[in-house]
Amino acid sequence: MAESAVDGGNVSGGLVDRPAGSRAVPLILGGEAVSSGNRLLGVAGVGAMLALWVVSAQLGIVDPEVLPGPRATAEDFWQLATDGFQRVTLWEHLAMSLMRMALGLGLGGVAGVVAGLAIGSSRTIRSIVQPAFGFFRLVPVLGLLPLIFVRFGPGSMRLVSLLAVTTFFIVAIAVRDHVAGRGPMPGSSADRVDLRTVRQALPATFLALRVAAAVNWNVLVAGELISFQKGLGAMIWTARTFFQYGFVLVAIFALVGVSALVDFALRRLGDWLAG
Amino acid sequence: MLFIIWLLSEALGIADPTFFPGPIETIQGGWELATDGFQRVTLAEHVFASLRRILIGFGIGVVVGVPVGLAMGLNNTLRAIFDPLIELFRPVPPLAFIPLLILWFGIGETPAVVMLFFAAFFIMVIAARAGVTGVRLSKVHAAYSLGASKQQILRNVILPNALPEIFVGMRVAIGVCWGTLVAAELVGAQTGLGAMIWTARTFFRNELVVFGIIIIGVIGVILDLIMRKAEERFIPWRGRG
Repeated sequence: MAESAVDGGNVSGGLVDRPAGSRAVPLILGGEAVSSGNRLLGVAGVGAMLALWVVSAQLGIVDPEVLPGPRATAEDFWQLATDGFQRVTLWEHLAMSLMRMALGLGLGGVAGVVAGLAIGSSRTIRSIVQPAFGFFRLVPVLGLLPLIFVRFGPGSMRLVSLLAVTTFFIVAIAVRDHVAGRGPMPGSSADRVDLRTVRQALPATFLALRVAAAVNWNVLVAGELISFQKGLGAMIWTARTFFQYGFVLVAIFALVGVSALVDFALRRLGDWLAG
Repeated sequence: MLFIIWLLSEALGIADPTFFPGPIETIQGGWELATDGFQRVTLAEHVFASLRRILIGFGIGVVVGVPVGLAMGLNNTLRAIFDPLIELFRPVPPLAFIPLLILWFGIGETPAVVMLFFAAFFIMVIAARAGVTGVRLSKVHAAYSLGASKQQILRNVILPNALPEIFVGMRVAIGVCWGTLVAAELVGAQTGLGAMIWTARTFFRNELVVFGIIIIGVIGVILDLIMRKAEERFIPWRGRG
């Protein structure tokens, strides 16, 4: 393989890369080794930002038409949570986005693990598939988004399949690297793939899934924004057409929360499965 | 191989051409676009409009993001204050901000460029910060013991060690920016490749949609290759730290 071990790579721009062990991973998942400094200062920073928002809205420094204040946003949130907007509640949008995300991660993840194991353990398969992988790793995922306009199957499935393709490549590469890098195991031939192999590949798989989820939020929101009625992206766009900017803020906060939640869930699930 | 399957499916009439255009039809459409243009705008103009946006947005993002990231890496207080803020906003897809940006900056070039700036900014801050904090302390101490001044350490030890991370960040950022830009052009622009695809789609010109996707992919690959070459040229010491 031409890629060097230190190659950071294009995890989120390209479809394919080597997430595990790549230096690009922290750029996608954010720093986990952060909080080395004073946590209080961090809380103060976020607090100052919030205070600025509250004060500027209260004193009327910022035109509520330009940036809805905290109170207006909270009221919008309440309306979305109870009555909904255009007869769709926030929870329905959230559930729709989450379902698409889960399907994309699930389908792409399973296919990716199978493909990664096959490519990693068989020289023949690797030599056939490698050139195509090498090209697709550089294609920006979001560039493929217009494919959802080309009809092949029902609308929602087109977006899900795009999410699944992203996931597939990221997971397949991670598992391939894990299997290929493991070297011949004592007492078994290098080509043998069994349950233990799958189990050992679990940490790499779930790290790859977390990267895929982070990348896929971009794809999901963009896709929902351009061609769907439900989902957080769709909610943002409908809100815009009705000049309901408070709803846009609610959607942004919801995205912050839900992406953190999915990341946390994947991390816990991975830890739990790997024992 | 994929191309051959695609070609065969058209030749044998397996795929319905109105739903999924074949390669010959796509190439014809592409030729028409390149020479006459579609809706009186040629391919070159669309490509130029897209490239201009990404170069401005990405450029400013790098120029502003790297110093902020370096400062955060060098100063514990700054890092403690800004890390949570950055972590809070980083995971939000840049496209989610586009309605607010259009509200603030009006319709036109600015909202897309500002969005690309933010997309690149967050990635570059994290990359530059990671670059600084990744410098091995033993090197800094070695330089100090050789009598280096603070400025010399920054220029000759920390910066060279952080540059590889910064270039990784630039590669990730330009990929994200390119994809995000295309998506943004789909919903709100008159020119650019995304806008071209959107118009083609409303006229049921699927072959132009597919052609556009291929061009977007090729440009994405080229942008990445440029970043890679720049990395090889400007920091030959990469990976030997």
